[in-house]
Amino acid sequence: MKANPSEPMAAAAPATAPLPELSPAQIRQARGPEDQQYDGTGENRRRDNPVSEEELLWLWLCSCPGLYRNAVTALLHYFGSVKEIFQAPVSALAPWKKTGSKSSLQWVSFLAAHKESGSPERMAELLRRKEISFVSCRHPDFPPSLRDLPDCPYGLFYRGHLPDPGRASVAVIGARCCSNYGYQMAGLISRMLTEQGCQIISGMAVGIDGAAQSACLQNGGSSYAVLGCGADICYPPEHIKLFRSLPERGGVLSEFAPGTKPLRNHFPVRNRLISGLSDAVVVVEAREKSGSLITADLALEQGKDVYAVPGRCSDQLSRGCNRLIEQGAGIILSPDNLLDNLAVSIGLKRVRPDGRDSRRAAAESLPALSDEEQAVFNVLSSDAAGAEEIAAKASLPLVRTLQILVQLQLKNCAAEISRNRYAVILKGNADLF
Amino acid sequence: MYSTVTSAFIDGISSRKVTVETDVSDGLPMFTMVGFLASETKEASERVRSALRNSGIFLGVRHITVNLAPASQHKGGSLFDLAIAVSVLSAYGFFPQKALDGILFLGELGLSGEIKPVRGVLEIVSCARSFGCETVILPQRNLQEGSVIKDVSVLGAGCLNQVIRFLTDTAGVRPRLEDDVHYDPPRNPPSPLKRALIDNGEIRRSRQAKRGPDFSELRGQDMLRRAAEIAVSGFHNLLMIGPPGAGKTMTAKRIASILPETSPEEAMEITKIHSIAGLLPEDMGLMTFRPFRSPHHTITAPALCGGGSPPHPGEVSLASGGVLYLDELPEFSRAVLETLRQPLEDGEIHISRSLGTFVFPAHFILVASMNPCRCGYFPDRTKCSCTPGEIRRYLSKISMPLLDRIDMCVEARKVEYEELTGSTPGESSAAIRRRVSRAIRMQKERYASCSWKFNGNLPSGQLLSYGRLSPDSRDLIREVYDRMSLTARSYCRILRVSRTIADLDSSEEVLPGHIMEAVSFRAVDRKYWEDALKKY
Repeated sequence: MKANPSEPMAAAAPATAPLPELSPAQIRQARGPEDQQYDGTGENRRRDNPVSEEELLWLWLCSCPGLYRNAVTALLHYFGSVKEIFQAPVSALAPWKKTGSKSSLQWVSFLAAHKESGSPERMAELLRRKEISFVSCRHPDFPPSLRDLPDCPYGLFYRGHLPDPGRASVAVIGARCCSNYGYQMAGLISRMLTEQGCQIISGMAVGIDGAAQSACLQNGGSSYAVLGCGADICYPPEHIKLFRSLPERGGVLSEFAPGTKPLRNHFPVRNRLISGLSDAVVVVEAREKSGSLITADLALEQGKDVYAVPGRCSDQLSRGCNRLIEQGAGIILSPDNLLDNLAVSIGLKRVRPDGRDSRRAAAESLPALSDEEQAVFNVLSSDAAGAEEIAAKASLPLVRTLQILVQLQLKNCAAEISRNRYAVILKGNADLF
Repeated sequence: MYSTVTSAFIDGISSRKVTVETDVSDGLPMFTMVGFLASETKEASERVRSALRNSGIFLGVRHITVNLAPASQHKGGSLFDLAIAVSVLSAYGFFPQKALDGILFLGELGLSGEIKPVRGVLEIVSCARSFGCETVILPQRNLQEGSVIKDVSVLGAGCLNQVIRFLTDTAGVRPRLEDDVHYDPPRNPPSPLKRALIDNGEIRRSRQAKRGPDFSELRGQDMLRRAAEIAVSGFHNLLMIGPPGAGKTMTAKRIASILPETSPEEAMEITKIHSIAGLLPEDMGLMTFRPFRSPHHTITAPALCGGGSPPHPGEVSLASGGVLYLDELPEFSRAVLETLRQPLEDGEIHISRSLGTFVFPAHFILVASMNPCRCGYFPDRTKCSCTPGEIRRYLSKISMPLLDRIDMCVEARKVEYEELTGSTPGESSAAIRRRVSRAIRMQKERYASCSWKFNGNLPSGQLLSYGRLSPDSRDLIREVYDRMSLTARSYCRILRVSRTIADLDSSEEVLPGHIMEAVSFRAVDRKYWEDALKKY
């Protein structure tokens, strides 16, 4: 066996190390008795055709908890192929232990434990039970747009489906702590993109992400969430409904092994997949330093178009978006304007829903309002305002204003953002509230 | 020789008769107290002995045995001292037994012979007749309180000598004392026992004037005002959410000034509880105004609900008939808040100890205030910088079952400078109270034959029969229920609150406008928090 590799994590290290010379008996001993029956005939639940042996081994390797991409890269360099990694005894991992770096000690112990814990068939069976599918980067179904990434994941776990490479995909992302305006804009943009047949990619976070994905599903589109945790974990927990309904028409994707917890460092990593899966990235609201800007930067590196919703100078939540626009991101003057720009940049074909002018359709959908209702409605803005403020502006008594506000809510013209604070609902966003 | 004297004590919140029996016999000079007594009651022997000596009485060498019957009942408190002293004197032959019959003695003795005030006088005096007594002799400083009861003769005594004079006069015979027993009466003859004439109506009128801070001092805040008015009119629990400095506490303090007047029975109930807790002001015979209690958030569960052994009434009982105000609700310990569930549901609290189970009244309006997050500005994201996790942690401190029992919720907002400095004062408490009283009157008539008195306690089964919804209202509430995805619980609460709004409007029927207003004040529930967290 060769002397220990000084930098096992360095991806650039040439894989010249000869494989450890172990007799087949030794290997069998290291793998444990149950692995000896391995015949490579696992079945993929979704396609009902036999999975190749390599695919099954990739599944086994990728579902090792705590084994990140860098470590897999290092292992591949050292052992040469995923089969060799699988067959290597635990003792073959010793060189990494000696380097003493904390992270390598960690993943070596995880991998060692993973080798003990079960066969690839068992892993596949566990996934099947959790209704999670797996696709490795070598598989033809693997999203082609990700394959071009320099740090393409070795495999993807997903519930539901993978994005359709034949359809346009747009990422709609933004702040978790967003304003009502941002929340509604995200819903509106997502709905209009959905009507054009786009797939919406996002991160299922609270705030903008959730609004965009909910609006997409409510309008019959397919949306895909890329998670920073295992595909079997709903994070954030508030979005359990979204988490359950996404796989019906879209999917929940993750490169992390099922059961992986949503750790802080996972999110910047998964952001490259959000931008990678999409043809264009729309940032709705972002602070100066935010994960959305990381995604936008990654998108630019990957050669994708970035669009941002502009905001007021004084608005903390729009600083990031305005900065993006300064740096050359596309400005979204209106959702229509975005569609026009996308038509040029990614060749999105404009379709008019039901063959009508959408603006006219929207005007028709506004319900009839009485004079008092109209007065209150005119005062409402997309920033939530208190009932007293609205009453003063509409010159109506407070009690009457409260009554009218309830009527407007029933007519889908107003939303109660928090108790006794009201905002106007942008057309078509009623389902978001 | 032997004598018996009647006294009473407070067990939980009800009074129990106690017979003090004294036997004086030859033997070693001892003062023995028996009858399952707490230590403060046993110490009465020392107080009585000194008080007698300092009142000029010298008892010969005898063995004195005092028994407080019934002996099976645990007794505590210092209110037997006077009865014990009188009983001992009687056993020595100072007064014949006949002079003591039909008199109930209450009072703690000082070593000088002074009679000190005790707790729970009103409750005991109100039961005096059922104990077979027409006269009650009690500490002078409790005279105002005791005189509220009209069916017995209530006499106040300041010192032991006054009582001795009174009893000698009523007996009309000179005491026959043995050789070694002396009585040197004070040089100035003690003043006779006092009576007090209390006009309960007069108290009520005089108390009206001083009610504490007034709503006219509060600028702006129309939402809070309206919510407070509705809450008080129907005995609805109210939660105020808002940023710091919005006027939540200011409003809450003024709620006391718009509480409806008490009925005589309610006043009696409130006074009894305060008297038992020792919180009755000395110059006040009857508490005719409703209590307003605002315990600090460091309060413990026994202090809130009542506790100790034997149990004392806690804040929930002291607030009974009035308002319990919990400022900064999430800061209260969760376990403490959980204990509020039973009182909010039943209007009383059961406290079980090894001594037995005690039932205290606890029928109050819960008014609570809280910030929406740690910094106080959520969901105003331009100011609030809390992360969703922080907000979730902050809100999770309040138990949902408790929130489920709160009928109304209102948002407090920052007052604008113009409102703060404007010349128009807010509506005065007196004006608001007039409307509240009218609404209360309507409820009184409607619920005359019912076990509940206010809309806030209207059982859900009776909502539709007493709610009297107009046909339009029925359609509206159905639409609201579907569109706003209400729970059954919040549906009931909206109906209750809308009934109160209709009462404030002097309307027999609940009209759609009333329902819509009730919907804007509807309570927050789990869905409200979850939605807020999902969006922002």
